[in-house]
Order: sequence, then C-alpha cells, then structure tokens
Amino acid sequence: MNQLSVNSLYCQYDSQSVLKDLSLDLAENEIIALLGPSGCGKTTLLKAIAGLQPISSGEIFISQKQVSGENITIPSERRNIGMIFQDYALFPHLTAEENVAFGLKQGDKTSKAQRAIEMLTLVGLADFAKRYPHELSGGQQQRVAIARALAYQPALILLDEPFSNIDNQSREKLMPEIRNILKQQKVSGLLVTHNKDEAFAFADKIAVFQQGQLAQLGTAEELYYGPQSKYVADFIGKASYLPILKASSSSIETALGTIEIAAGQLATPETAMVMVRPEQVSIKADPNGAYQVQDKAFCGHYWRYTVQSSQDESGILLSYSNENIPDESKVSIELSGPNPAIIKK
Amino acid sequence: MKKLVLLFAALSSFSVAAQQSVNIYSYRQAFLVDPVVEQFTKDTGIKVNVLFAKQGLAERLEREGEHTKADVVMTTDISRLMEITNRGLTQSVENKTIFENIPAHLRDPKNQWFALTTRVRNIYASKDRVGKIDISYEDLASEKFKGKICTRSGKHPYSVALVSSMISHHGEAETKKWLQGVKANLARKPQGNDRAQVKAIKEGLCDISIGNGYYFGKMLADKNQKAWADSVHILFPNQKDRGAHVNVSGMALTKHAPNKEAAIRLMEYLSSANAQKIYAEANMEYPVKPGVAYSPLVASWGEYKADNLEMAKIAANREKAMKLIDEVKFDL
Amino acid sequence: MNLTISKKWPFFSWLLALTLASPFAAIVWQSFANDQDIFNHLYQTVLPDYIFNSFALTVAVVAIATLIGVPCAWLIANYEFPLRRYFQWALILPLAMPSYVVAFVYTDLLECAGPIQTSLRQLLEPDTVGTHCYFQVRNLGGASLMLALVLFPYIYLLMRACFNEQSSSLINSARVMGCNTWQTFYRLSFPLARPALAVGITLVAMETLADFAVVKYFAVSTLTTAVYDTWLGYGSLAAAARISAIMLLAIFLLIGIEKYARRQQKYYQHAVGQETIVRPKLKRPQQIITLLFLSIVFFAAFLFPFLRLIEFAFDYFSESWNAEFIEYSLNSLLVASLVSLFCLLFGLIFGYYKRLSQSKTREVPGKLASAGYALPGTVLAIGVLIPLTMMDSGVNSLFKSMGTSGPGLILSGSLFAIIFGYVIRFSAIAVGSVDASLAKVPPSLDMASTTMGLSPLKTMFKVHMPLVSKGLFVAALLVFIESMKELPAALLLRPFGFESLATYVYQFVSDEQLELGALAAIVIVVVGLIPLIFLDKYLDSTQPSNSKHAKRQ
Repeated sequence: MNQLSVNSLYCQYDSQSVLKDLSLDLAENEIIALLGPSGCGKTTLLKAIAGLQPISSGEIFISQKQVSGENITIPSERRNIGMIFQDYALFPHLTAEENVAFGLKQGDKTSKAQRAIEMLTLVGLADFAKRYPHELSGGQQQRVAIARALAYQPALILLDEPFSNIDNQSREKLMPEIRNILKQQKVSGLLVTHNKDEAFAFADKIAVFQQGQLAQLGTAEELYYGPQSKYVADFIGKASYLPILKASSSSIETALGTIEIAAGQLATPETAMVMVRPEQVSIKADPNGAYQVQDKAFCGHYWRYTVQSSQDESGILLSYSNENIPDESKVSIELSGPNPAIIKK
Repeated sequence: MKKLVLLFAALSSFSVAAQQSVNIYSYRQAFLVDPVVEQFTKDTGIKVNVLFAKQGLAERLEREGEHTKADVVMTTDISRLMEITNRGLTQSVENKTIFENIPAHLRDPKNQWFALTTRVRNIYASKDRVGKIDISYEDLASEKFKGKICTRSGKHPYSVALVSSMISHHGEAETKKWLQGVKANLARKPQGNDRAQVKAIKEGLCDISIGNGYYFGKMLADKNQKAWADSVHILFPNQKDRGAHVNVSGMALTKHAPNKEAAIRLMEYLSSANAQKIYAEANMEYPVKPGVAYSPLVASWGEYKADNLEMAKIAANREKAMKLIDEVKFDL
Repeated sequence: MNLTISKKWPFFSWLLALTLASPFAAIVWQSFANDQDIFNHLYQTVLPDYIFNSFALTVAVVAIATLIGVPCAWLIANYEFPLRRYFQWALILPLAMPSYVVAFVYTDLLECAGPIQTSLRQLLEPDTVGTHCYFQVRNLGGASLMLALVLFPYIYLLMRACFNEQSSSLINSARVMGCNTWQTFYRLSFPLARPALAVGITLVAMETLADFAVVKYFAVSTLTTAVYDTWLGYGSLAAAARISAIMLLAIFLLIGIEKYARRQQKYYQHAVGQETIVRPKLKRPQQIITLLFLSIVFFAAFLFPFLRLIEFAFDYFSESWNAEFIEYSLNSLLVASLVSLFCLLFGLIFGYYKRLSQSKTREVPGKLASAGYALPGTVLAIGVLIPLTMMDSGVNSLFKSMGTSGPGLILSGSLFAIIFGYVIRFSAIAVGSVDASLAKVPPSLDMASTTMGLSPLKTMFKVHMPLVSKGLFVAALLVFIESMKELPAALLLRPFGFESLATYVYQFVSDEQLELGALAAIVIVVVGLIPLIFLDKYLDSTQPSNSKHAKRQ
C-alpha cells in the first residue's frame, strides 16, 4: 500500500512550470530521496505534498486520502505530515520539550510532556529537554526537530535538506541514526537533497530530478549501474562513454568488444551509447596495450586513472586500480562487473 | 560694552532683530494680541515679539532670572497676574500716562500689575425655555434648575475665579454647599469651552450656561456659531445685589526686563485710547480706560453693575477654591 | 568576546544618558520638596479617581490599539489581497495626524450637541425638544478609542516588520504540525513577536500617560490632569513632580515585568539569505472582510479627520490664511529633522553600548535616556529649563568673574532648549527601535566580521548598518513625525520669534477653535506625509516583487 501517491502533478511559479507531469509513489516504511541540482523542482514537490505550495493540476494522495487535486486542497495542518527543515525551524520561544510537544493534539499537559520526553529519549536528548534552541548545537537541534516531527506519528515525514547545515562528522553519525529511527518508528520518508552520498546513505530509493520531471527512480545500485540517461549517469557518479560501433538485435559492438543486450532493446550507433563506471574498467600495464595513462590521482585505497585510446582521439576512460602504474604507460583494458549500461544519446 | 553683550545675546538666540524691540510672554493667544501690537509697531517702529503659552511661562521667567529676555507678561486672568507678582518676578511701573488711563481699582496698589480689560462672567439662558430673567450665581444651585445647567471644567481659571469670589462673599462652607448644588444641577459632566455650552443650549441639552460675555459677540461673528448665540439671551447676574463677577486681563513689567524703556512705551500704548478701542472692538471686552466706547454690540447689552470685590481677594482665595472644586469632585 | 569600539564609548554613553536624564532628575529632585499638604489633599479627594482613570485609560488604549494594530500587521505581512500595497502605507498615515486634531474632530461630530446626535434627534423625535443624548462620547471609552486610533500605527509598524521577518520555515513547520492559520498566529507568530509588541505597547502606554489634550477634550480627569492642577492650580511643582514620578515608576515596573517574563528566551531571526515570501491569496469572502476592516480603520483614523480639516479650512479660509505658513513649516521641518538625527545618533550610541559592553549595567543608559517619554510635555519643559538655566547662570557668572558680562541665555533662550527637550521626549522611540533591530542581528555576525579583521566601528557600518537600516529609518521617521506634532514642550521652550506649525495651531486648539487653525493643521499632516512616502518607496525597493529599480540600473 502506498503511503504517498503523486499523479501527474504540475506546479507553476510566476507562470513558469516548476513541476511537469510528475508521478511518484512511496510505499509504507519506505524512504525515497529526491535528488537533483538546486532549482530542479524537488523542494517544490515537497512543499506541494505538504500543502505549502499550490498545484496547477494533478493529484496527491496521502495514506490513500486525496489531499490535492482538482477542487481539492486539504490545508497543511490536516495532512498529518511531519517536516524537517534545513534551518531546523525550532521555535525559539519554546524549550526543546515544548517544541516536541507543540504538534501533539491528544492528551493533557502531563501526557504530552511524557510523550515529548519519550521522543527526546529516542533521539538521545532527554537531558536537554529544558534547553532553548539557541542553547543546543546544530546536530542536537536537528534531532529535536526529528523528535518533534515524529512525536505526533505523522503518516509521512518530509525532510528538506536536513543535513546540509551540519558538519561532516556529525552528519555521518546523524544520518544512519535518523534513518534507523524512521525505520524503527515505521514512518515513510521523503528526503530532498542535492548530495548523492546523503541519498545513498539515507534512502531506499532515489528519484533523480531533471527540470521539474522525474528522470529516473530506482535503488542506488540501479541508478549507478543502470542509468537511463547521461544526466542521471553524471549526477550519480563518474562515468565514461563509448560509442556504439555496430549493433544487432542481441548485441552491440564497442571499442572494448561485444556487449550482449536484452532482446528488443533499441540501440543504434545514432541513438545510443554505452556508459561504464570506473569500477567496471580494469587496467593492466601492457606494452602492447591500446590505451595510454594520461592522468592519475591517489585516492587513498585506490588510484584513479584517466586513460586514452591510441586509435581514437575521443576514446577516454576512467578507471580505479590498486596498482601504481607510471604515467604515460601503455595499458590494456578489460571490462568487469555488471553489464555496461546503454543510454540514449 | 553693554551693547556688545546685547549683540552677543542677540546672536546666540533665534532671530532677535537688531532694531529696538520688546518681548512679551503672553498667556493670551497671539492672534488676540497681534492686532494691538502691530499697530504699536507701526506707530513707534519698535518691534514686538510675542511668545504665547498657556502654561508655565511664570516658571520659565523665574528660572531665567536676571538673564530673561522677556519684558512684559500678559495674562487673561487676575490669578496669573498675582502669581507672578507674588513670586517677585515683576517690578513697579510709576508712569503718569498709565495711571491716567487705568483707574486705581484696576491696578495693583504697588503698581506691579495693570488690568487692560475687564470681562464679565455672564449667564446664558435659552430664549425659548428660560427667557430674560433676573438671575444670580446663587440661583444656579437652586432646585428649579435641576438637570438644566451646562458649564466648562471647574478647574478652568475662569471657573476658579468665580468660585473664589463666592468664597469671598459667602465663606468656604457656604460655597461648598453651593458648588454641590450646582454640580447636582448639571445636565452633563463639565466639558468643552464656554461656547460649547451655548451650543448645548441651542441643541436643547440644557437651558442655562455660564460663560464670559465676549464669547457671545465672537459667536455672532462666526457664520457657523451665530445660530448658537441666536438661541440665547446673555444675562448679567446679581444685578439686584452685589453685581456680576468680573475678571481682568492684564500686564506686568518683568523684574529684569532688558528693554525696559521700550516696554513701558508698549504698556503706555496698551492703556491708551487707541489700543483700548481695538480691544473693545476686536475682542468685545470692556476697556479699562474711562471714556473709551464699548463696541456697539457690547453696548447693546446695556449697562451693568459689576461686583466691586477687590481683585486681590479673588486671587487670594484661588487655592481654597481649587480645593473645594476637588472636594465636591466637580469635574468627575 | 570583548569588543569595544572605543574606550571612551561607555563613558560617553553614561555622560549622554545622564545629560538626557537631567531634566527628569530635576523633576524627581523637585518631588522631594516638602509639599505634603497639597498631596494629602489630592489623595483624600480626587487622586484615587484620577489613578483609576489613568489606569483604565492606559489599559483600554493599549487593548484597542493592539486589537487594531496586530490584525492589520498580520494581514498585510502574511496575505495577498487587492490594494495590499496601498494599505501597507496608508495605515501609517494616522501617525501624521495630531491626536488633538482627531479628538477635536470626533468630539465635535459625535458629542451630544454634535451634528450626528442632533440629526438623529430630529429624525426620530422631531416634535420633542431633545433633552437626552443617545450616547456619550466625552468619557473614558471615547478618549480611549481616540487615543488608540492615533497610536495604533506604532504597534502596526513594529508588528508588521516583525511578522515580515519571521522565517517562513517556522511558519511552515507549525502548519504541517497541524496548526491552522489562527493557531499558527497565536501559538507561534504572536509569541515570537512579543518583544516587538512589548516595545509597541510601552510606546503607546507612555504616550497615553503623557497625553493631555485628548483627555481634556473628552473631559476625563487623569493623573496628567492632576499634574497640571497641582502645578498650575496649586502652584506646587513638588506635588506635580511627585505624581509624575509615580507615573514613571509604574511604567518602569511594567517594562520590568515583561522583561522578566521572557528572560531566558532569545530571538535571533534568520533575516539573512531568506527565501522570498509567497503570500497566499485570500479567498473572496476573506478578502471582503479584510478590505472592510482595513478601510474602516483607515477611514476612521485618518481619512475622515483629514477631510473634516479640509472642510474647516475651506470654510474659514479667509480667517485662517497666513502668509507666514512657509516660515512656520520650515521651522517645523528644521527642528524635526535635527531632532530625528540626534535621536537616531543617541539611539545608536546606547544600542551599541548595550550590545558590546560586558557591564551588568549596560542597559541602564538607554533606559535613563528614555525616561522623558512618559513625562507630560509641559512638565518635561520645566524639567528642561531647570538644568539649562542653571548652566546658563553658571556660564554667566564665569564671565562675570572674569570681569566681562555674560552672553545671556545661550542654552535656555535659544533653539538648543527646544531641540534638547524634543530629543529627551522622543529618544525613547529611537532607543527602542535601534535595540529591537540590533537584537535581530545574531552575534555570530559580529564575530565573523571581527575575525575577518574589521574593527568594531567598521563592523557597525559594514555589517550592522545594512541589516538594521530599515529599523533605523523607521525610528527616525517616527521621531520626525512626532516632533512635527509635539506641542507643550515647544510652546514653553521656544525662543522669541520662533513659531512652528504646531505652536501656531495650538493657540486655536487650546480654545477649542480648531476651525481657525485647520489650514495649519493640514500643513502639519501633509509635511508629516512627505517622509511617509519615502518610507513606502524604501520598503518597496527592498522587496523582490518590485524589481523595476534593479532592472533600470
């Protein structure tokens, strides 16, 4: 059952389309990251779901209940969602505990306070209940915000760049912590981020946005090795591209040999090309090799190489290797790992 | 040397002209004083600066002490004249012209102050509902006027002066009873100025009000207020006994007047027939100089009998009057 | 952190504060003079009524002004509706309207003998001579309403600025947590705006307590009446000063309680790098209610009194035209400009002392300098005269001791006195606004700037000024307009030959003959409107919706 359904949503802002025919489903207890550069419409989608942004057409359902659509606009306060903001948005005039209790509707004062302490304990801040926001660190504030958003058991939690104001070290600790809390509380989440590492670490699935449209939705691995467009491929990680030399119905030929393709996949030299990740390219020093090391960089537990084909000016590949191969050495190439992706030109 | 200092003083202040001039602290509104002093400037070439304020001029004068620039103080009420005199802020003027112009009972025995005009505290009565009757201030406390009287605040200097004249005649206890009686007869809480009371008579809210006589003339001259005045008779109270209560407007020379000579010329002028005539005509008050004609309108109200009570006594009972007005909570 | 702009800064702040407080000190000193008799008499007779009236009046004015000002600010800051931009500045206009003018116009219109009740009587009971009133306006309620009508813009202005600056993510998070518009308002926006509201309410309360003209028109006897009575009627400056001191004490107590109540909270708002606010459009029925409400407020507080003034001016044109209006206007402008400049400067001096000093008493200079605001104008004027004339005497005796005669009254007899008096009267406005603006700048910015090698003085000009300039501008404007209108102090402190619009109008107002001064009163209002137009332009140019200026460049 879907906790959230967005059906062909359109949004406009100053007569410019920000979202175009966007559809997205979020299952129960699932976390999806909306990934894309700034201005691609991902925050607009979040706000539309929250009811903070009027939509032009389309439908939004939360827990199977329609909240937006033609002639229907359920106001934010009746959508039962939690939201986490980049600037934490803690109320400066309330203590941590009062902030967490803010959204609670049922119960008397004591039971609300009890629930607030419970939630603060969950995020490990029970000792800070009486502090005001300005007396807490950034990470602590964001944890209070999580506790606050979860306290009233929303159907769905929306996270708008929640980690971007937090330092790297705290972030790496905070991300899995919050993910675990969401999983443990069985809450579905939608995370907006422009950072693919955050998306990888936090989400079950990633939705890559491109100019108001959904470019591709999938797990991190699917997106990494099987992007459907160059845009997605580049946004998700480093990639090299090979032209298709010849194509048949079951295979294509590239400079690196023949690659089998699924039946019915349309791939002609004119319309498609092949993408390989550096991990899929193994290089080996070989005096007879067809490639030459052009550039290399030490990256800790591996070296990153840029190699160039001696036959083809534009034949440039990226590769990771544990071996230190001298500059300008000849190398031979071999493909390994999952099948290279065929993407549209 | 003295001139140099004067020059310096002049430079240090705002636009005091180099020509001969007189400075007035005035409790009277400037627009009432201006016509007379303008004529004075025209005749003598002496410039006159008027600084009007309703409150606090005596304090300012006292604080300024010997450095003050003020030469003459003008007031609308005897109490103010006595106040500055009693505080020692004035000096005596022994001037034949002024003595000739202003009768002895309208100036200070020690010549510290001089009245310029007298004004009667009249009673206004509705033409339709009251008519031209004989009335006294004492009658205002009588049962028959229950809910029919309008008046301005009891704290206004004109009201206070009337109350202190009552104290002089009847004593405090009697006056307190009278005040309570008047308060009980009021149609509404004391509010507005003297004209507003006449307006209220016209609108039928009350039948009788207390007010200075010259306001009658001012209302007749105002196109919007003429109807108010037309609805009332102006009555002179206590004509059968002591006469109507009168107050004075007046002037005094300040103790440290820097332009004493010019100031005395101005005071002479203010008491002269010319100036008194302007006062009589423009302000519809009674000139103090004998022989100066009343304005035709004022004259049409006929001769009246004025209370001969000494001005000094009215001023002396002022504080007692204030206390009585507080005690009966006249304004509340 | 220990930032100091200059080592002399604290010394200078205190010196300035003490100078500005000297008239107030003079009054307090006077209040200790022995005049127990008068005080006792008042206490036994009318003082309890006066105290009750003052208290009730202040509470009522504050309540009504809040009820008008806060909804206006909320609607304009948070919603989009037709004419919003016009109402945004139209609602400031009542500030330019002197309260005595509004009071006169309404008593004249609504009193028992006024045209409305007269017409009603003629209409309903044409046969009987109307001896009764349908309603009374000359009472506490009427006076409260009048004062609230002219004073609500303080609350409106401060609250609107505050609502505008509230971070949209705070509002949004309250919304998604289940707060509807109303709940968002009273659980979040309103409590967050409390410091601004406190400043606004304090200003309104102080203005109310200092008012004399309106309560006099409305025949309400308050403590101010007592001050005047004791001083002018009984000739006892001591008893008058004592009553003034009691009034001030009450105000400081209130401010203290409010401060104490929110001692732990800090309100730094993210005014930097904020996303543009999208104001939701109001639906039709809501639009109509909003427009109706705002129109009534604007009409009652400004348009109607202004039209009446024009009517008076037209009726009495020949009697009231005066060729010297231009000179009076220039005088008014000169004084008002100088006063706003000084107030702003002093406000900054105190504001920075408070921000940068570590001293426990760092708030005191600003508070001291604000004391003059609650003093009735005439009492303040006397307070000003006491130290100034003393200094003048000192200077003159010094000259004398050197064998020459002195320069006369160089302080109390010149424009200095009037400007000094006004600055004391209104520096509270500037101090409050500067404080409120500076409080919104997070201290991290100071540190950032200092670490980047900027001296505190440069930090002030390069970092704070751009951030708080809007607040400063509003402060200067308020002082300017108030100085245009202020009367009693002007009357008593001006030098010979100095006439301003306000002093000119007052001689008519004092005798309830505003008709004759209407023309000059219009000039006061219009001159006060000029800076308001600048304010509107200024506020607009900082809003993204109006990008014309940017495009042209």
